[in-house]
Amino acid sequence: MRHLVLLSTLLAALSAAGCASASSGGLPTAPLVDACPAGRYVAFTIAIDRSATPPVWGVGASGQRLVLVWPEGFALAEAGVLDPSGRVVARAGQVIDDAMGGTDGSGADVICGIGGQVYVKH
Amino acid sequence: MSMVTVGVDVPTSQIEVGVAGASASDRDALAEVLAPDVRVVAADPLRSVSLPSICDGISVCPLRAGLDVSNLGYEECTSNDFFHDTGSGIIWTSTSGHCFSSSWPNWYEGRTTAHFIGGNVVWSFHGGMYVDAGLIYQSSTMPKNLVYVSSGQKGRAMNGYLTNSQQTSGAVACAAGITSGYRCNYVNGTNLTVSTTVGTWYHAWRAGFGSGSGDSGGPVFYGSRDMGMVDATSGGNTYYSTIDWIDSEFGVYPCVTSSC
Repeated sequence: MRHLVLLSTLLAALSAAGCASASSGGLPTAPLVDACPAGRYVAFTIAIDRSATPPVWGVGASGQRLVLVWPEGFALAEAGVLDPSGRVVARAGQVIDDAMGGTDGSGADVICGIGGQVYVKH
Repeated sequence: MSMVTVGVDVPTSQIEVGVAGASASDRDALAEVLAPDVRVVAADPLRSVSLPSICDGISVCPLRAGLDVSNLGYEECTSNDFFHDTGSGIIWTSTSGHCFSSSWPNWYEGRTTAHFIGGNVVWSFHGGMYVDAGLIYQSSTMPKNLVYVSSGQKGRAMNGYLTNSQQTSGAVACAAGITSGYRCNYVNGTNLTVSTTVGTWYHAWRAGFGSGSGDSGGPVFYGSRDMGMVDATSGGNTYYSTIDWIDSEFGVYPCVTSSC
């Protein structure tokens, strides 16, 4: 049973991911990774408040709040969350039902796939 | 006697034929005729699983590897094999470790509470993980070695598994998942160290087919042999945990007979 890990002990032990910058419009982002976990987040609704920190979060079906961290190169603009190509991947009020990724050690939900596209190192 | 599987064992360049309903002496006789290029092994017959109408088309119930499973609050993934705990004798079912959440401990087939599977048991992921896998309590009375491949073959029986040394680059691997369905290609990387959003993963294997949203946890197999569990994707590749590493982590083996 080596390396058996219970999530509850890890949440407190591991460091937080995601850092916001001016270029991302305050959106927390994380460096691109080699591979994106292929689990699908249960559908959540995008909430945007530009005066809040962070300015974008998810609301689950039971009302729970998801702390969202986006791939490096994503940014918040007037239209919503943009990927590095400028495509809008999330708008306020939009239900997201195909996001891929998983929680990091801090409990943040780190997205690495959305809208049918995966964002990883090339 | 019927032939139910045919595969190529890349490391030995032999064709492996699985036959059902044959005695050992019949198989030996057949193997003698076909040797050395072909070897003959025993295989379970393909099962025609009788499904209630609610299961058809939406590919849920009865539980087997390759189906839609969710904790309804965190992630939706694909079921993997039943595993036998050699210490306790308990039979678990499984999916990817990153699909688990302590806040959403109960697992269901599909997106509703209609078909309860069981609760979280243990899971492994986050920095320095050797596998990305987890185990779920279950009380299914269905055969324990079935993999859902497609609507035309709802229950392919597994009768063995491949060790790490049998999963070399160039070996064929296939997978089943709730988004990408059934796909096959070659293993193109072994024992890799990979960064993912949930941490660094050691001992990852890689195959040359992609995976989509929700495919995590899906069975990787070839013919009627289990190989591992889909966990992550990058472009046209899928990264998976091997059976050997899942065993090393949890002390469990995949069920390769109907009674496990």
